[in-house]
Amino acid sequence: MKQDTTPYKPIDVGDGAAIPHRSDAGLFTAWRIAFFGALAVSLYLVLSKPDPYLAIFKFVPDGILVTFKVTIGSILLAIVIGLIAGLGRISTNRFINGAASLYVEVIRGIPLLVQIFYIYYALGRFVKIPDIYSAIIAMAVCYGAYMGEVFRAGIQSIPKGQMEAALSLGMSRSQAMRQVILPQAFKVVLPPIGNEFIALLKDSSLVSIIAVADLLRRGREYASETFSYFETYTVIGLIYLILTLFFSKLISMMEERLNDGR
Amino acid sequence: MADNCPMIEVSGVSKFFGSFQALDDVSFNVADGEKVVIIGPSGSGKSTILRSINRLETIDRGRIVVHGMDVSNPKTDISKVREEVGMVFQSFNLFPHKTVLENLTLAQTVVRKRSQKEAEEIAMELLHKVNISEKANAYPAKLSGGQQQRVAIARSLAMNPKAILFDEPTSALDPEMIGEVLDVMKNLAREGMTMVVVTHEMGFAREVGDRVIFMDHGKIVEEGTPEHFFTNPTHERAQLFLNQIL
Ligand SMILES: Nc1ncnc2c1ncn2[C@@H]1O[C@H](COP(=O)(O)OP(=O)(O)O)[C@@H](O)[C@H]1O
Ligand SMILES: [Mg+2]
Repeated sequence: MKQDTTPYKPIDVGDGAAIPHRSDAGLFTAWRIAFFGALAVSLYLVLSKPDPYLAIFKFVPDGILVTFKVTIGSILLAIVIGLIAGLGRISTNRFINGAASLYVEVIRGIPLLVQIFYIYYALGRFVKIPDIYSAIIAMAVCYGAYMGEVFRAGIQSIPKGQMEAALSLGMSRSQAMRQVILPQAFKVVLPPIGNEFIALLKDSSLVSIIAVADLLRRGREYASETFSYFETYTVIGLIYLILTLFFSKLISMMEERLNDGR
Repeated sequence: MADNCPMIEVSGVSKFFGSFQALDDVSFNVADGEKVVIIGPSGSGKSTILRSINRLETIDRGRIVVHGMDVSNPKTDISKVREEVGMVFQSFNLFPHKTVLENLTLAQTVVRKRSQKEAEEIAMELLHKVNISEKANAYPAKLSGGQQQRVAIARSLAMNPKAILFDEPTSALDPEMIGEVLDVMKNLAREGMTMVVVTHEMGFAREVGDRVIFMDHGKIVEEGTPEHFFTNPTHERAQLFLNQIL
């Protein structure tokens, strides 16, 4: 009996933090220990040594806000770029396909840090835009390439019969893509997009190199003024850890709700 | 497009997958209202010829004309052909993210440009016809195989096709569900629908078919009325096949 009612195959494109799943007991326990441990350590440091820990915790929230802005701006733009790149990668038009593949190969072959520098200075030669926008564009151009592969895999995971059924009803290829394939593919790509979001949250620390006052940059400023390097980077690390663990949990909860939906 | 033209005209069609020849000089016509049954062993090219008729596969040689439209000409707007020729698949291929009703209204609104209201009325009427109106708001995953295939037939009918191609519509079904799908197809046949049916259901072929086409290795080996085919097939391979399956 090959009556395939749930045609979604899981796709595996992950380079983010481990996102815990309900069924993965080991990972779930590790998540709890890490998350509540990080909170407890933070609290302990602030209470036991308010100088400098309380001061550091008070100094960095501006940076957290900037880190959020960069991360959210980049992920949204990267999703748009990724969708275009993913559609390009499965296009039968040789020019479009070639351009999309070239983009993906080139971007994936250059370190993100180099891209951030390059786009920042390249953009700076032609237009004057705030540093944070250069940062978001650089991150999105880079992550768009990975996201493109996620979308390509997601679209290709939808059984061929779906496209054929839509075509045989008289729909055009683009109508079928929009009405039948993409709505199903979006459900498939949500988990890997969650992974990309976590990876992006961490990689956003790289933008501190181009004068964007994100979390890491604020930490560096504080440390260079007070020379308390060890204490500052302890706090910065703890905050990144708490943030990524928090969001990975949030994402896994969202996924579960989505799956329970039907 | 004159009335005496065949609905489907297949002449001298060959098709290669790489160096493998899946179809070898296949020719047959289907008249308006005719029911043609294609049988043959697995891998003999039955699906390929069916899928060539609405250009899900492109052919390498020969000509296919559907209702006056030349499918084998790359310039022909294939959507126009597909609007007129429905297809029912072995694996149903319902859209899992849409309800049964939405499965039936989607192409009506997008392709036929009907209003949502009109499309829903037509859809409900057809769901009644295939006996599954109570599932209109269910998602396909909640339906049995037989129910899904009946919905798929209704979805195809919603476009008011001039002909429907069936590719082993009951092969993926549990035995107890085959009957309900065949009943729907028999009703359609009685109403005069032009049908090309690939099937292993020999009872159906005998009862409904005007003509039986037997294929083997990409060729039409034998063609004739069901009586002729089932009582005294001339070719040895057709005899062997019948002995195996009956
Ligand atoms: N997309 C394809 N690529 C390569 N070979 C194919 C493809 N589709 C069908 N074939 C081959 O063509 C032959 C005929 O296939 P098909 O028409 O599906 O046979 P049937 O429907 O009679 O079982 C088979 O040998 C099959 O392996
Ligand atoms: Mg077949």
